[in-house]
Amino acid sequence: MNSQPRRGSIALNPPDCTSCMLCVKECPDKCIHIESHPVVQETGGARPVTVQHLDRFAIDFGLCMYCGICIDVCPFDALAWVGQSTPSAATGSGSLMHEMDQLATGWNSSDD
Amino acid sequence: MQDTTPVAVVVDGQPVHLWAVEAGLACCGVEYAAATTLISQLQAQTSIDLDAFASGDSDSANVLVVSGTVTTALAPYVVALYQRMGPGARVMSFGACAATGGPYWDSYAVVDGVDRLVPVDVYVPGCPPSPEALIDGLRTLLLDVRA
Repeated sequence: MNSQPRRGSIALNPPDCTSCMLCVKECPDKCIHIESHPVVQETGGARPVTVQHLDRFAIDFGLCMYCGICIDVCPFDALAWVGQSTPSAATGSGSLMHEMDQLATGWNSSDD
Repeated sequence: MQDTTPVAVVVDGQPVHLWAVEAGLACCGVEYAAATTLISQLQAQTSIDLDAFASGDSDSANVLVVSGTVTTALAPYVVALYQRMGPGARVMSFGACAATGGPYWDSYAVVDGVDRLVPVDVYVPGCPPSPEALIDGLRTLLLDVRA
């Protein structure tokens, strides 16, 4: 914990996200977008369990203030700082709306 | 609101001059000024050769850097500044407020993105963007200029 990386960008580990929406609710300028649908799982227990399947997780880095509240509130540590700054986006060739796969790429590079 | 900060960029031995005139509208204006002073220090860490110069005039500027919250009151002046620049002028949106309105995107007094006023070529994210983010934005803009 004492080696917190500098606030470059924010990465997501999709398998750890439960679509609980806490980050979406706590984000001061509402730059996180989550879409999910319920999936009923038979666990062999007394009754089936309904979980949320994550369909979309996107952060609008054009809006993000890099406050880190989403990282702080995530109960499952599915979000983390990565050291590299979010790349700039040129009109026509890029977007600051980073979707799940792009956010996950950042997570993999943060393990280095 | 006008602060001339010419930036000359050399890539692969070819000088490409970005003469930036800054519309510093809020706190990002100060952050942009601070970041430009770090460009020469940071160039050793980057793959491109950046150098910042200290003189120039706004009439020769070819890059408009909009940094800070674009309020509806100041929006006409941003447009006027852009129109005063010659054809082919590039626009860099510096920071969350200029890109989307940032935390004030829902305010009646704030333009939620300077691209509603002028065509933006590159968006530099951050609140504020780091000097590294500015350099990345210059690099992106440069590739765009050379393309």
